[in-house]
Amino acid sequence: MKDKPTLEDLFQSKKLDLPDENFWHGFEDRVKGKTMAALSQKRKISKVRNVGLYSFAPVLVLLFLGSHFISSELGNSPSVETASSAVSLEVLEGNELLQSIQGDLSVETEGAIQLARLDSFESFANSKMVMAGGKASFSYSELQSSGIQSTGKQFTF
Amino acid sequence: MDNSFGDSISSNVASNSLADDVSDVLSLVQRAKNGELPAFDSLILRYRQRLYAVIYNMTMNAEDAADLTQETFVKAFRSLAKFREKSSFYTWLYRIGVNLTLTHLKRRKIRKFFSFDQASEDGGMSKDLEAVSSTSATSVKKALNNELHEKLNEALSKLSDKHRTIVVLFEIDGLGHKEIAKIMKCTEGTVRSRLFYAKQQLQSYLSEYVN
Repeated sequence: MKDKPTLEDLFQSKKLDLPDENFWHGFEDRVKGKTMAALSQKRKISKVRNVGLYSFAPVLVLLFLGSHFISSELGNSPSVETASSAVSLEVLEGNELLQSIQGDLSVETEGAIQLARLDSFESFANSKMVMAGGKASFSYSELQSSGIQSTGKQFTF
Repeated sequence: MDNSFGDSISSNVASNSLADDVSDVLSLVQRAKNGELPAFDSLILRYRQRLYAVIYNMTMNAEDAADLTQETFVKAFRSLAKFREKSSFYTWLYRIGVNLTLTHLKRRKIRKFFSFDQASEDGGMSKDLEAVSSTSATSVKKALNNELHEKLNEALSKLSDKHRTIVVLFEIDGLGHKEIAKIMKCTEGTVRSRLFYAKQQLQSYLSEYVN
């Protein structure tokens, strides 16, 4: 058994299991080539990134402004509609009130507002308006009317 | 075979302390970080042989070892900015190399599993060993019994990838338990127990050939 090497001897021999100098010349060249390729690739990527960033920046700004404009347009249009409908409703209500005053109608019901019975112009003044269902009521402070032809009236709710 | 074989070659093997000239290495790393390619060339020159040996003994394939060693250096160069100098450069470099090799071995196993041509794989390994033997110029190595060498490689290839890596780093590259633990990202205890188990396995595989 004396001529048998030990496991450690075999490991020592493995340390010499290396290629010669010619192998390293080729190796070095290949690593250099790959390193240079990696370097140029890195530069290309950063270049593309920079170009992309600079070209996309104005586009992004325009997109942002556009979206901001559209959202503001969408946000404003319903309020305008509401305002105009409110105005028309107000006008309509005012006209109907006037008609009801002029026509001496007994009871007028408009939406949720139930007007009190009108006996005369004077009785309408300082009277009370009651919400339909009787859950809430409100009154106006003053009504100025100077005849049937007069249309200048102001209601304060 | 003479029992003094190990003694005769051990004197030819250079010191394995990778921690030599730490300040020198750090200045090379700093210069390489600043884009000085000659500084990185110096780092390649310093570590290429030992890194190749580790990878070759992990893969048992000369071509794969050459490719993986190159890949390790290229990857190290590309991620040099990420090297924070918390660990030593060689630990960082070895970690890249070992991780790349372990990934490669996993892929090779998967390929082998799905390959019907198992015989060609075995044939390929002995061809690679022949290639390495032919490129080596050391006279001592020529005297080595090729059969024994091949048996050791076969025994090493029977070990798991992690056990083989630890044996290679400790027995062939000469790193300490602590350094291996850093490279393998495990505890020193794990390194010791894996090494003990692996050497027991190798001893049993090679019981006919070694004392």
